[in-house]
Amino acid sequence: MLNTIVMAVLAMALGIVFGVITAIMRMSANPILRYVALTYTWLFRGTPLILQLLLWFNLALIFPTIGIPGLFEMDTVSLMTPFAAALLGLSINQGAYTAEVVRAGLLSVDTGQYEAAKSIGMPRLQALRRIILPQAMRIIIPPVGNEFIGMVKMTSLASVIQYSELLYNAQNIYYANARVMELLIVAGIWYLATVTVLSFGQSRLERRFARGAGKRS
Amino acid sequence: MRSIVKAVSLNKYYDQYHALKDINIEVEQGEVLCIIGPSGSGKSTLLRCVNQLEKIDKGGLWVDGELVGYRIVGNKLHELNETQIARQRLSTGMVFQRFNLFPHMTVLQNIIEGPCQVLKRSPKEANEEALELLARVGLADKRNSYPIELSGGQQQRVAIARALAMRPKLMLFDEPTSALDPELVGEVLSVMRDLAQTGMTMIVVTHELGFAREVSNRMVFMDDGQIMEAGSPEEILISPQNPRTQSFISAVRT
Repeated sequence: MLNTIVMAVLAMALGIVFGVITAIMRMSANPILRYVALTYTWLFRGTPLILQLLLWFNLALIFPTIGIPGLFEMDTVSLMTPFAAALLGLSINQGAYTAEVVRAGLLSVDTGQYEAAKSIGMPRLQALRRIILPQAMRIIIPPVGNEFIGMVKMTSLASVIQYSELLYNAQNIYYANARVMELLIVAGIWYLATVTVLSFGQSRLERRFARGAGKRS
Repeated sequence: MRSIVKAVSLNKYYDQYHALKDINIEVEQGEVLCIIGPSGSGKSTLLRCVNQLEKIDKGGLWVDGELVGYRIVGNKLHELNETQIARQRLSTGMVFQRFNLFPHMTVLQNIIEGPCQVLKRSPKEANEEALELLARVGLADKRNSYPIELSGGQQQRVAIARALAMRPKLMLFDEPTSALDPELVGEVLSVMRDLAQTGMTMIVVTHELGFAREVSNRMVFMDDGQIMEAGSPEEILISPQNPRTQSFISAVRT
């Protein structure tokens, strides 16, 4: 149970970081950054998550050791624990989706705001951080809340790589005591409870970012 | 007198459309220049070129003695990067037709944003100066309001204060009263009039001919991307020579 929440929170946080960076790269004037961002989104949205998880988990089959040559090296098997593979797989996949949500948010902010930020001498990144992103948050939060809820449930896919999350544990128990339906329903109730708590958190966040936005929310 | 803005055969294209055609103009320190002309005549584009919201395609533009957007190395021109452009913009302040205040910040936060984040002044000093500026535009009591709670005229006065907080050498006004209800125009013009009296160099794109006549030292009439006529307010408004100026003035007057 705790593992599920820890994984969902960490993967989502990382996913948002990847998403914001990718969205900003997508809208950059530099064509190389734009194409890197496009390729990332294309690759990780275009393949099933469960496949990506299996690939990360089995990375040792192609790269027995990883590291920076001459600096450090370690066995991929000991690094790619179920936890690490699940975190990587879930967050990188999430980042590809969140990037589009963040981009929609950035596009929703009036161009006059970019111009006003420029007119007081702000470079692009500062303008994004101080002026544009805070306003985009209002648009970004509802769909990201959606994705977060999706993430809580997607962690169940990590059971295929033996990450000890909620569903994996439920299965382990019913393999032992054969109470299949009971345990699946218990797992379902836990998922529901987690999602309910998250939804409350979302509406509080939305209120915070509605400052100065009038009664439109 | 020192010239703050100098444009030499400046040209601007939007794809095929020739938005500015060989503009030559000079603005001296302390001067108030009003630009009038029909919409689509390029007057806003010219203003936006001055603080690099638009890039010029041909010709030269100097603001406060610096070549805008480029650096001369040997006998070659190098384009400035973003940080350098941002630094060049510091010499100009801009006021927009639609105010463009930051809606997620209070009036006071709007004004100190630039001084604190860009100029890295201490919040205390920035606050004090912001309050002085707010008093100057008559809005000291609104410091903790959000922009949405203010009228258009009040928002525009805050926008003027925000631009002034950066201590610019030149203020650009892009139709500052065009988005306002008629009864709110006066309060904004009166703030601009006070500003002109302090000796601030100003370029104002406007349709307020009365204001232009009263405040400006010089006026320019633009049409079709060109400067058709330049001269004193009396020359332009009362005895224009160019037929297009004449028909524009008489159309606006009626």
